Amino acid sequence: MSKKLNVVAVTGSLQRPSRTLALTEAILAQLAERIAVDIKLIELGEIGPSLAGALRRDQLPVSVAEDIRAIETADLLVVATPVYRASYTGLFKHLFDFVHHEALTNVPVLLAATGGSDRHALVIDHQLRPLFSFFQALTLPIGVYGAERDFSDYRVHDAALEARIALAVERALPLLSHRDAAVSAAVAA
Amino acid sequence: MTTVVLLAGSPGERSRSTTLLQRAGALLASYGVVTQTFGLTDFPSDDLIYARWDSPAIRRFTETLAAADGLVVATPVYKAAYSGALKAVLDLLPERALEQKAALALATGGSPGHLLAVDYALQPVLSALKARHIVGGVYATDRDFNPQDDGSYQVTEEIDSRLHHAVGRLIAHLPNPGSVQLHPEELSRQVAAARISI
Repeated sequence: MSKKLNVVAVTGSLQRPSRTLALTEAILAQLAERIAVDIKLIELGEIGPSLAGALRRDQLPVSVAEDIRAIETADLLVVATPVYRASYTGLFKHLFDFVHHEALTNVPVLLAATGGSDRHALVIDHQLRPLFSFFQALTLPIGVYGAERDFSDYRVHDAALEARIALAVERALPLLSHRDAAVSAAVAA
Repeated sequence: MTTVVLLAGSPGERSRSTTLLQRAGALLASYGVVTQTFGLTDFPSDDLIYARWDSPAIRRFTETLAAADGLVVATPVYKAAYSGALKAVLDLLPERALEQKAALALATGGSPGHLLAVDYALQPVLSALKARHIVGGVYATDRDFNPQDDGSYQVTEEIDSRLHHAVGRLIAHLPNPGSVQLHPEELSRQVAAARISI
């Protein structure tokens, strides 16, 4: 690919430091090692205060509306959420409630989540994947789940998790391309 | 006294899912169950984003729920799941908030195709909150609501009947049916046999 791939990452954690952010950054670093990327990172903890008060898209401040526009025009989405009550966080969902339902058609989405233990690993396939299936996005076959003990000082610190990240990116590569102009046009119409 | 908390997950003022909730609340009240209703506007958005467990609004909700026997939650289906704003409220509940309680989920969507959002998205969250019983929910689509002149909605007879059944199931599974005026089994029997209207 001659042009850089437009990657938008959404990380659902509300605090810093954050394992979810660390996992997101590890995935993005692995991607950047393999292909040329332009990365935009959206942190729920940062945009949360202006996002939570909005119940309609026209109530969103310009900066958050731009973030949503970035999600809607990405070539690849990397989404990561901490597990709350066996699912994505409410605020994570609230952000995607604003995303146009046709804006992610065929867009590859790399799913990631973090939890206290391995017991919630199925959140990827039972909560995150159906959400992006709704969008008719191309949810990538390999998701990445990190448990608390896979991190040290809020950095990925587990060989198996590192291997999983590498595998997720490896398997994603053949499926990545620049967004079909037709998709953007359909959304704009 | 038997109490049930009603939680409305729709951000809209004129809401079909809240209509279902209100109807379920009225049915519960008719059987002597005391209900208390909460909606998204009862929670300051700052409390949600900063996870302020101890804010007055959140405490009022969690304490009311802790003292209740059951929860009825209603949501519009957005993107094939519950609304994010509703989930933000549920995220603030203590880990075992529904232990020893019965729960009922109500949802509305644009098409019948999203019925399974109740079973596959919302009910797992209630399960994660350790609800003792999650009784079969009610899903309705736009065509099940007749808009009234005053801006409210009226549900069709079929949906009303399903709400009757669902409320009967909920009452039958409440851990403390003390103040319920009709025996739960009798209520369920009546509902099943005659589809009583109240």
